[in-house]
Amino acid sequence: MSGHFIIPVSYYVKTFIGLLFLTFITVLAAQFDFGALNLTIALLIAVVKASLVLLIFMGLRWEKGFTWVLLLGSVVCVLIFFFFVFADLMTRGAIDIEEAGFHDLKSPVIKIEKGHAPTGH
Amino acid sequence: MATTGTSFIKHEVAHHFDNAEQEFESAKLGMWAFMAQEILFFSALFVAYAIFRYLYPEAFLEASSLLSWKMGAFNTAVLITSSFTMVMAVNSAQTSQKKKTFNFLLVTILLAALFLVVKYFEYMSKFHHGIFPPNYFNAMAVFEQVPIFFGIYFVITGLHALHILIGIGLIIWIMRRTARGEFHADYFTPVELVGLYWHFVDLVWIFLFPLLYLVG
Repeated sequence: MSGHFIIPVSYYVKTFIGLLFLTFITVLAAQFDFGALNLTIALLIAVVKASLVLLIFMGLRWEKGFTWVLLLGSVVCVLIFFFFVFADLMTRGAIDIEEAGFHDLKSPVIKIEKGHAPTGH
Repeated sequence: MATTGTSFIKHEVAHHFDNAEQEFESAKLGMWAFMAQEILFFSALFVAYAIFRYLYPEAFLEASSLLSWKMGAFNTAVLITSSFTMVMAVNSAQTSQKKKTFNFLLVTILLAALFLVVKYFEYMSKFHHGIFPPNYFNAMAVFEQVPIFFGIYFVITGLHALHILIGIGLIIWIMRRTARGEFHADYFTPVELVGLYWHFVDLVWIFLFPLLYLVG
């Protein structure tokens, strides 16, 4: 494997500092209330951090096409997973109200007394 | 090539590969396929989290406030640092620096252990307050769905901790092989692959930290 490409250490050092900085930003952003944007901001920073780890630490930036196909294929499957679950969840409302108690779709969590599991639910 | 005067063991390319390059690329591709599977594996838990957070946002807000974000942030920094020492170990192996590789791997293990120790104290303080997985939940909470959050919390952080434990085992394994002189510029595949695994563990935590500790 002579001639194998070795990534310069400076890349790693910069990525490391960047990741620590972004962690600080995550905590800082959580101190302020942006309303509905809170989750979006937290996830956006997480995606940037994850991309840094993938591209530099895991060397995806220097990988060949098929590795990208594997990884992006996996991510696309996860997005489909989320899409269909939420396509169901977000369009349930009316049916739920009409048929509550019939399908028992939204049965509330049973409050547990004295740390024992409820029997026969 | 050897910087510390120690001897290295020559690597024999397995007979079904054309050359070392092909052997290395094949192994790495296999590891990436495994990681693609790991993403799908964890995705089920992230979907569960998303469903219940969507249904019961107030309960998630309350449950999350019961966690110590300081411990979570500290552990995030610990894992990121361990990822850095891991790439440095891989880099040292690539440049045939045996002692440096060994030391960086050792630091990575110590950081992993530190992560688990913090996690242990976190779990214990939750148990102390009666915060157990749902069926055994015995704490005061305003919202009825708070136990659901902790059900997800214990499963997902527990599985993540299991990955860390496995990672520690793998790093010990490559440390022993490093000490024997098996890894050098011509062969460092296991170090590279364990490195990839370790970064994946870091990757999961990068998402877990804001989702579990910083709801709000």
